[in-house]
Amino acid sequence: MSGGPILTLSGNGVFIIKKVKYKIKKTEQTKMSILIDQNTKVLVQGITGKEGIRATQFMQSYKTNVVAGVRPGKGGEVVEGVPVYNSCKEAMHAHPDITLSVIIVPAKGAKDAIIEALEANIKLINVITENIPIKDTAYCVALAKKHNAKIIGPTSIGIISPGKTKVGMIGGLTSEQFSKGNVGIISKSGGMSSETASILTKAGIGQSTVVGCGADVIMGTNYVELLEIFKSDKETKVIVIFGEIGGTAEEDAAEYIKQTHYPKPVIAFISGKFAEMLPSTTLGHAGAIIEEGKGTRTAKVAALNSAGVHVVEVHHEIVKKVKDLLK
Amino acid sequence: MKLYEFEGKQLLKEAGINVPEGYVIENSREIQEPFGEVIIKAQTLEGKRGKAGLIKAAKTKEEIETITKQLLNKHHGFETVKKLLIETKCKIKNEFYIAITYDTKTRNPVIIASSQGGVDIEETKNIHPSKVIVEQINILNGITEHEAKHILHKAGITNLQMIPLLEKLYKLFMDKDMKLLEINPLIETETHDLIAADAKIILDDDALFRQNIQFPPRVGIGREKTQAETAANKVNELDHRGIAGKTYIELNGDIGILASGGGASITAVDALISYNQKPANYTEYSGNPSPEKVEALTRIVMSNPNLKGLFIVGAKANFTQIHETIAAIIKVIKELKPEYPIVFRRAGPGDTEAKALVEKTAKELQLDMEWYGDETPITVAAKRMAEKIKERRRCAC
Repeated sequence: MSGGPILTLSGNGVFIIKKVKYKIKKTEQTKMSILIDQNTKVLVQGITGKEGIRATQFMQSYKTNVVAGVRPGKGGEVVEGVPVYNSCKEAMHAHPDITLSVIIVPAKGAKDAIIEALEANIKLINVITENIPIKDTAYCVALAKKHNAKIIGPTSIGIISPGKTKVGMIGGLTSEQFSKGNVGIISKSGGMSSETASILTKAGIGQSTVVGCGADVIMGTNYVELLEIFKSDKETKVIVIFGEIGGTAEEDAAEYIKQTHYPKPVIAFISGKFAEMLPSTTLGHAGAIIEEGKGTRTAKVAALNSAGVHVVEVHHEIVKKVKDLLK
Repeated sequence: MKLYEFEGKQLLKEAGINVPEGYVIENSREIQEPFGEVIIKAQTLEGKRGKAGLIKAAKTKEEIETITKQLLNKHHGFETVKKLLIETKCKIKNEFYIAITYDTKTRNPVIIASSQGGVDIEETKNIHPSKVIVEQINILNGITEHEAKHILHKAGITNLQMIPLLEKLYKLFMDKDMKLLEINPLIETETHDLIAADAKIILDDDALFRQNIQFPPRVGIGREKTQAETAANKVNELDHRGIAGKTYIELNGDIGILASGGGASITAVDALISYNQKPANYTEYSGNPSPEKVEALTRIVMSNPNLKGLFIVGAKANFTQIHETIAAIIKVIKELKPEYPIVFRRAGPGDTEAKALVEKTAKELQLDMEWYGDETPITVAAKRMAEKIKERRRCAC
């Protein structure tokens, strides 16, 4: 999409000229599914840790091609049949076909791990690690942009394209909540990405790709960018967003859907009714200026509604909505 | 971690940024003889202190004493005023506004600046949008002198000392891992000196591990913790296996909550609210916590005398051993034998055993307990909980 001016009709019937703000590179259309598929070759950074081993087992249970692991000082070891290297550079040297790195290191080391992956020319990085300092995430996201790479996460549960492959922790050992189909899911919550897929699967509705985008203040890849990727995916007919309060990602998505006349129906569920009963924890005036009254559940629901997104009030209503829209 | 004004000013001072001369008191015995006019500011985490009458001026020691009596122990939102900051009043020529934070949309640090500080900056932005400027900073490069000049020029701030000051503030924001650094007003005195007359700082909790910050811990929601909340947090520290009770918020309702997983627990509590029910607490356990932790957390939730129901809920677990955690909860239920309805919605490793245990216990002790697995959505189970509460109310009439 280019950044030229477009004409839109505002709420009160006045035509306004607005500059389109989103400049997103065209995604590859040749792939079978978005982000990952059978050809995905995975590197696991932090493979020797408890969580790293678990993630490797989870991925291998779905026949994901985990080709290498990294842990400084543990080069030469083998974890779950996967060779371990001291650095991303070494791993890339031995396995130049690596397409994606799963980062599952402690928060303290996450920034260095991401930088290492970027410098080794890995273009897709799925960050499972939680509690990464904002400064580190902001730095890595800016650096990824410079390297023309994508970060999914932090605090991502992983990504799954049912029937094809999966990366990260998503689905555990069985992945039985997921089934192949035409619903794309983008979820801030890890647990609820599985749960959302699960209620659909139980109703006989499969998923194309489920992405745990994480709920950090700074998201490596946000809804707008993921919607853009889902847009050209032939397998995806409906997109479900599981949103949470805080930040402006949902409002930005609403604006994007409105501005681009997004061609696929989008369903959204925003959690956080309960959180609005609590005292405000926003960033004060500066936060208010940046977010312009956004961030609350009320604001997100209003923005999504006005963009024609199908907002459901209770989570399980997603099923009926998807059924109606797939008809 | 939100800082009190006096704590924030301490950080500013250490970074070589001027703040008014002042001291903190906790009682009237600590009041000093003033040299000229002073400003007395109640120290609270919640804002809008001026409008709430928590900032006052005084000239004599007697006046300070009177105001101290008025302000100490006054309530402000969820807080009680425990400390006052007494500062020399500055001679004001101009008041500026400077803030640094992250823009969640662009994912960059941003500097917000205005030559019209001292007042509600949101109002200024509404009335004169051009008077409040927002500049995106490239975190890879930091802020250059050229950029600082550009920002200040755009904001209409001409004081040349502002250039190094802005660079200092940006450095401090980054060095201390802040989420927000807001100074309103930043005072320009008659002699062109720049003084930070207020400081609103939020530190990034996730970065505290690498900061040498000595400020005491505080509750996220800006009030002191209740007994149950403190007890639940202690439960989490029993061992290092999983999480249980790290987050615990006491609420005014009557349905006890024992939820697993952040997203699922909020979805479940939201659903209860959608079905006109009120949770008595919010808490969460996850990551396969030890049975001891789950048992202790259950005791805290069930110690609430107002409970009319108990909802044990979670998304399908990847590796939390359901039979172990449910057995820990059942242990407490067996002891307390509550009359109110209990609804379980759990799935994951060991859920068949857990279901059998719940059903067996319900039969043996004649308890009103229902089990749902992942054939039933979380929110449908919440609806069932709500229905059971309503049935009971009808029966009681």
